[in-house]
Amino acid sequence: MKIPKILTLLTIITLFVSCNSDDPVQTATITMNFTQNWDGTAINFNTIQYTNANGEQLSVTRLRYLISKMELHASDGSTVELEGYNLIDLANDNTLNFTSNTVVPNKTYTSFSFNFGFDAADNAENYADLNSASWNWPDMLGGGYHNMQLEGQYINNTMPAANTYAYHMGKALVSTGTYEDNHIAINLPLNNQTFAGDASIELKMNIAEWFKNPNQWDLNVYNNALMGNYAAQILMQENGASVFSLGTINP
Amino acid sequence: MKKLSLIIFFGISSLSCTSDKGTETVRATPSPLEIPQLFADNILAPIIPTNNPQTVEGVALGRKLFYDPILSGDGTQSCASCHSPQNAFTDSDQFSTGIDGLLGTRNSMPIFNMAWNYDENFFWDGRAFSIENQAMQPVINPIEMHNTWPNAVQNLRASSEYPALFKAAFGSDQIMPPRVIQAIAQFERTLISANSKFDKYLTNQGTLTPSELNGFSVFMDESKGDCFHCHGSDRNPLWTDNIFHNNGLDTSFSDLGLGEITGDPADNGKFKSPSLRNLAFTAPYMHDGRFATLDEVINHYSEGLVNSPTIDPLMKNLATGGAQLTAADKADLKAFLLSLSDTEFINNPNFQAP
Repeated sequence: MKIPKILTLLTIITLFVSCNSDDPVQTATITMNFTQNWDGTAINFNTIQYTNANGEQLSVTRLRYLISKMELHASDGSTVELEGYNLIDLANDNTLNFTSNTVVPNKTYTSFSFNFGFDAADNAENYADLNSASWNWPDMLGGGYHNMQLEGQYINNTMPAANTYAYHMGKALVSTGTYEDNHIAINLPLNNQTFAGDASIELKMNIAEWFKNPNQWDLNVYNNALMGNYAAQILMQENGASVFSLGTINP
Repeated sequence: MKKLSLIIFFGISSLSCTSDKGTETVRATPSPLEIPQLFADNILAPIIPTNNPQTVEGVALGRKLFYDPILSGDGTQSCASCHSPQNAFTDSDQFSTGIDGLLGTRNSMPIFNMAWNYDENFFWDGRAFSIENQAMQPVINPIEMHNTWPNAVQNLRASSEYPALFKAAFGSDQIMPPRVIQAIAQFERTLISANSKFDKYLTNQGTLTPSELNGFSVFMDESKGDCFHCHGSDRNPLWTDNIFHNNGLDTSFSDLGLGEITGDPADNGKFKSPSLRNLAFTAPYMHDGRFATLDEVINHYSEGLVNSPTIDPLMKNLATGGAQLTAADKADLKAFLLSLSDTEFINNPNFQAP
């Protein structure tokens, strides 16, 4: 039989290729997994089934948010940025994972940071993929892009029928022509994390936190047309600080 | 070893030879879409299937087929019967009449910038994936062209012109349904609209009136029109998100729309956002053509919204029926919307009946 020879050859080639990752100088690419929950329960769409801190019952019918400038910080003081940004859309499974092309050096990492939305410099760029996804923030509110679109319906005990809410976050309009950059810079600790090969990190969003901490959100006051509402935008900025945590890490 | 090498060799050679089979094959002339600068600068590239590249001969054949009643059951209707260039490739009826005199239940959709529908969900309810699959359906729909595909291709094969045209476009005079719809899809992809008054304003080739400019502000203002969340913007000049929404037309649904296709009650009453380009030519409006004028459409979003379980959260102030626009803002919004109409598009000689 001659064919086994070929198999042997193929095996040797395969071994050569796969052996690279066992080199002493280890590097890795990181896949970010974006998950969403309501106080620990996996999120379900459409049905009114969640109760926020203020007592309104609500549904989530749409959730999109932008994560940028993802960085790993090593114990030696160095930082590696995972090139790129990701618009997460819960209606599109392909957006729930993001693998950066950046090769991460084999070091000990003590924290992971990112921006919720774009910082001012990144927000000034023009992105064809985000324009195509209708992710823009109107020029009259400073332009750039949304940080988040969280939408659904809500009811309380006195309402005759469900009302709608659109919790949209982006630049905050102070007065005509004056805006505040309103992204959230978030830094989460890692416990001396090393990555032996290609790895994944879960970034969890607890949606309930948008409605409770530190500001108890009242949907009867803040439900729609929030984009140009400075007070609402600042409440979102404050509540966003406790929304994210790291979940499963496969090193 | 020899056997395997032979297999590999044949595999490779048969792959590379496919298009040369039949010896005298002449390749069709590539004809890539001319992408408007405004689109190239702001949005992603159009979707062109790898198995149906644009060619001069394919587009010409598709154009001929689009205007030829030969595809209908009794030879009386073409695609253009309900998709006329003067109406931005829709018609002016609420519901279109098929060859047997039967009426449809949905408003004929206009055709332009189709290659930029990134999700590739076509029809009001998104039931066809890809332009090719969309083009397959009206030919055999009993209330539209009411033909069968075997009969349609038989008539094309019997014609004195078509076999040569298919050969020029696809390298073979074997006329099969997939080739017919590929040619039509190629023609439809060339129907690009990007020369409206507003396009010229965006590309510094023209100006807008104060009324049109204020109308654009109403469009972009979340506390007024709030149209941009679903209908594009200066940065997304398709003027649609090509996504499905319940825009508050009815409290209950005789036509389930997307819900009929997905089977998910949460999708009931959702229909695709149409583009706002070329509204001057595409009345009546909505999936069921219920509104004869743009004023009725604007009044709907301003005062006429009604609630239902799948209402889109972007429909606000439901208790009072909507945005409550002033008469002046309504007039300006209408002026802006009409500035999105593209007369050069509907009169483009390349798009008319051959």
